[in-house]
Formats: sequence, structure tokens, C-alpha cells
Amino acid sequence: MSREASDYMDEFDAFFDKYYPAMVRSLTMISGDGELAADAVQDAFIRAYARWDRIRRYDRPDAWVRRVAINRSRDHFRAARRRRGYEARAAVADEAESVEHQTDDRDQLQQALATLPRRQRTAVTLYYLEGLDVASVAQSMKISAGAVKFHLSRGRERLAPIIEEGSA
Amino acid sequence: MSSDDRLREAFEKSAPKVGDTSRVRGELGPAMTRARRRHRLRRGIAASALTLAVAGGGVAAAVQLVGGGDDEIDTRTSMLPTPDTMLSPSTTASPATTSLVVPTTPTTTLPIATTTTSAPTTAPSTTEAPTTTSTGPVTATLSGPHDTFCGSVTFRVTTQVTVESHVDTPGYTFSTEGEGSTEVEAKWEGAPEDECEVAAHLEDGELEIQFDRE
Repeated sequence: MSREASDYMDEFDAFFDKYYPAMVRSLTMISGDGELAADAVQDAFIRAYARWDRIRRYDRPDAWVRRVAINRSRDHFRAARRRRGYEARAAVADEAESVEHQTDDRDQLQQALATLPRRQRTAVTLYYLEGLDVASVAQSMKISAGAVKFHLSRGRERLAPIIEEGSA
Repeated sequence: MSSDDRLREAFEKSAPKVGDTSRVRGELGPAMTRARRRHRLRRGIAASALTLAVAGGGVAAAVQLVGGGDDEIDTRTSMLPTPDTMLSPSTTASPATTSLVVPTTPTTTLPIATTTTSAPTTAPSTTEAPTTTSTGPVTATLSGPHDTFCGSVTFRVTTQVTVESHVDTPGYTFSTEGEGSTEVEAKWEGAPEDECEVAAHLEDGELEIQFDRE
């Protein structure tokens, strides 16, 4: 392997080691399914690797990977929803997002999180768990910073009582 | 401890721990190598297929790669263009749109359905007015097969702005001065070809409407 190729691999490995755990954790919280989260993040990294010569030059390569992973997990649930058929879909239309939370051993926060709309859930998780700032959350979700603030505000309103209750 | 700190702490406790990344990285190695090889191959084929696509001879399947860069990858939509699209010189010659032509021989192993780069997640091409800035009454119209649309509305008004949607979104009314933003979100209930109209009215000030496709 040439020196250049080796450096290239080392750089990608470092990138992977730095971001993979945090992304899997976040996506697990967002999707409620650890295996799906790991699959989606791994798939996103595979895609990033194939284009690494370009993506490495982005300001935030991690935002690209995170966004692809989020899209992948969403694709999975959309496909599942389609498979369930129209009638089932109509019956559970309001609970459509709840399919994303199928684990039974959820704690209080995860249960509360499961009741939030997907975007709120994504925004608060990336902000509070991964520690991203508003601009980075916006980049990862591909929405405006204003929309992120809106989601964070709504998410906080919904989660704060749960947290207060838990710490009381 | 602030409520923000409490939330951070709660997330930290609740989120699962992730194990050894080097093992995962090692397991992904072969898949990454294959992906990289496919990526190089696709680029090569895409470049050489332009002439074939225009001529239309000996081709039976195509994957359309819509320009815009990898940062706009949306893996949800995989599509095969119609023969007309595939054979259109204007489509294939455009720098923004390239047709990757794959012969339908039994030995073709390119994963057509999973390698498609398609429409951007923001401001889809079917949206007539994805972003509108106006100092007067303004209407933005969405059309196309959206499961859900989301519109974020940023406003700076001196009087009042009302945002309405013609689907099942409640209207929003602001009567304060200053700057702010809100969000319009609604499930897409119409047929794919239906249009969804979101109208915003303001007497004075500036208004920007931005739509993201869910």
C-alpha cells in the first residue's frame, strides 16, 4: 500500500473512531432500535468511504454521514410502514412514528422521547446527547437554524417535566 | 443545575454505550472496499455512457444520477427513468444530470436500486417556490409526491403575518413586531399529483418561506 493510501486510510479510521460511537448512540435514541441505528450508521460510513476523497474536504464530513444515517433509518421505517398496508397505516396514522420505538426496556427519557415528533426527537438528541451546536444540528438535519431552535424549544417543553419529575 | 444540564445528564445516562469501534471498522472493511470499487466503476461508466445514452443503441436500463453533490443524497428515492428521459440528449448532456447506462446482461451486478443518487432533500425540483422572500402578500405552492412537507417560516414583520395551509395544518398568526420563526408541518394527504398550497400574507416587512421535503 502506498504511503498516500495508507495516510488516507488512517485519516478515515480516525474519523470513524471519533464519530461512530456518538452517531450510533444518537440514532439509537432517535430510532429506538440499536441494531437499526448501527446498521444505518455503518451504511453511511461505507458510503462516505467510497467518496472519501471528496467528503474529507467538506467543512463537516460528520454532518454528511450523520444525515445519510438519519435518512437511512427513516427509509427503513417508511418501508415498514408501506409494507403494513394502507388500512393498517390509516389506523395507526397518528402513531406512525411510534414504530420507531419498539424496545420494551426503555427508560423514562426514551419513553418521553418516543412521543415527540421525529424532527423534535432528532434535534434534541443531537443537541443534548451529541453536544452539537444549533448550526451543526441544522447541517445534519438539513433544516434552517431557526427550525432547529423551534424544535429544541418544543422538545424542551415536552421533556423538561419528565426530567424534573425524575429528579424530584 | 440548569434544565439544559439535567437534560444532558439524562441523555447521557439513557443512551446505550457503544463498544469497540476497531472491531466494527474491521468488519466493515470488505464492504468499504467493495463500495469504493463500485464508486470508481460508476464514475467511469457514467462518463463513458453519455454517448451511448444519446445514441440509445444497445441499452436497456438506466439509472439517473441527478447532480447536486453527495451532500444531497437522498436514499429514499430510487428510480428508473422512462425511455424518453433516458434517450433525451438534453437530459444526458446536461452537466447536472447524467445517465448511467447499464446493459441488462446476466453478468451485470451493479446494484441499480441502491446506488441511485436522487433528488435533494431540500427544495425538490417539483416545488415551484421553495423559498420565497417578499415584502407583500405571497403564496408558495408545493406540488409533487410528498408524504409530508415541512415549511419553516422566518418572519420579520412590522404588522401582522398569517400563514395558512390548505391541507391539515392549522394557521399561524403573529401580531408582534420583531423577528422570529415558526414551522408549518402537515401530513401530505393528497394524491401525488395534487398541489399543496401554503399562503402567507403580511402587510409589511419581510417573509421567507422555506420548505423541506420530509
